[in-house]
Amino acid sequence: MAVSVIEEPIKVAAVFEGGKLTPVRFRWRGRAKRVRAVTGRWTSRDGTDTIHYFAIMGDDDVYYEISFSTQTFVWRLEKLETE
Amino acid sequence: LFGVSKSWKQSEGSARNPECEPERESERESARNAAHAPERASHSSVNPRERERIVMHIDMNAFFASVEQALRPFLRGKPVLVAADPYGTPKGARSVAATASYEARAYGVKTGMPLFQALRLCPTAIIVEGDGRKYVSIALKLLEILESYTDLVEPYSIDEAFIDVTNTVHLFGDKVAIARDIKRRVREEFGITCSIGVAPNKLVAKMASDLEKPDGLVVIDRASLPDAIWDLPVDALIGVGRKRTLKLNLMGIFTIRDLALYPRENLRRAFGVIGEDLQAAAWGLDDSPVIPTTAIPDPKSVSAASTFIKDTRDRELILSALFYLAEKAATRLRRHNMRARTLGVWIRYGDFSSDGRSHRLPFPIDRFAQIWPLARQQFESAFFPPRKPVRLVGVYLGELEPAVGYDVPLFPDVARKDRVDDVVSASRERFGSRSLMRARSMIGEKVVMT
Repeated sequence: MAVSVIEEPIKVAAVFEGGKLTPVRFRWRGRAKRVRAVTGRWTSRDGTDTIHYFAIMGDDDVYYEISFSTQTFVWRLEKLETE
Repeated sequence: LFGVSKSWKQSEGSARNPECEPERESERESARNAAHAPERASHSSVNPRERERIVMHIDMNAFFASVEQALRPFLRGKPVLVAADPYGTPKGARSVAATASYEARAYGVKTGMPLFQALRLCPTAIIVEGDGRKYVSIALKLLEILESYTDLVEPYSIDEAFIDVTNTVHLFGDKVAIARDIKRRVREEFGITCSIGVAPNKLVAKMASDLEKPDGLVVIDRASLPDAIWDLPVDALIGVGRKRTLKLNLMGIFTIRDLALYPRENLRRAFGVIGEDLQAAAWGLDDSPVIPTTAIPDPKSVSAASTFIKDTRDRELILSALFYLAEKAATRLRRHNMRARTLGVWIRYGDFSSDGRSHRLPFPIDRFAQIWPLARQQFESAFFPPRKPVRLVGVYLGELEPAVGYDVPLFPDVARKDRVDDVVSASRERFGSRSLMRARSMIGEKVVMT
């Protein structure tokens, strides 16, 4: 099991539904990934910014943590984990 | 928070001894009538017109580890240790397991155990670096769930809370329905489990939640007290720690029953007034209210302490840590808008022996510019040069009182320092404790664990 810290901006398709923001697919380094499951979510403050974090399993069986800044509207891939 | 939902356990009525044997019943009655039973015990006899309080203690099982296992599927079913800064030193030499998953606990690993020791017991354990922001965010969402049943919600720690549903239970059916609903929502929303104790007061509710872990639900009602808790070891009582247990054991008190039936005078002689409180607790008596966050009183003291990564005698390093701690304590003091009349410093050496000094001040203080020189002076006169390598230093501010009124500084330099304090406090409130630091406190930045 290996964890890699990435911290790179990514392109994300997400849906707003039931008062929740849920990522459904994303593109990182030119490769498209589908979100198979959102296993958890939490928020954090960074100064005046509120950042939403999502723990997700991709269709490539990789665990990703991605974030969305409500101030800059930027999505980032924070880290990934493989078995 | 906690990955796998385990089998649902529930015991209604008394938790450990649901069958109330006649001998025990008569014993309880005679004991209750005995002269040495606490007077409050007789007051606890059920008055039909008095409504029984319904207090719940919600305890998230192995919180940090369960959160990580719920979020990260690769960790599920594996022994996991969550630690702060596990990679800050070789193999996390000074770090401790903030939480161990139940898989790790099966090997004997306990919360608070040094990592090297935990790894010796469970070499296959996966060490995960804790993420406080993640846990706080989830804990706050958990409190939101609890607040949907009552406004009387008291956070007890990041992973425990008390709620009092006496006045709202009729809106949700009954107490068991509420407890089950909480467990369901926690499981569905966070993928983790919790243990819930339901009882007429906080003391027994907490003991009840400890009886079934993980994923338990234990109800102890007033009719089943005190029998429901009497067979438990005496250290199951809140307020009975290692030292007190040892003392009680030496007096021949091993179970809560032993404590409940012990001559009250002897307890008073051994423990002072606390002795009576301990005996009352042994009878399951506790009238402390569930206090919601909004009603939590101001703190009586604030303190800050740091452990060095390596035991040290380095004067500059020790003073740098002390400087940082004085600043941290000052910020905490100002956050509560309080001033301190007592200032103390303490030290722990590499062999775990400790020493401390405190001093009552002629006037209350709240400024870093006041706290730091006094802390330094006290520390240097008491502990320098250190007679042994130093493991930990700390700063304590006590006898707090509200910072009412406003002292107008007579000298421009003082006014300027006051403004610096204000800016530092405001910045830390908004951007975090490390957003603005004085250079001196950063000398030890790489070597001080906080």
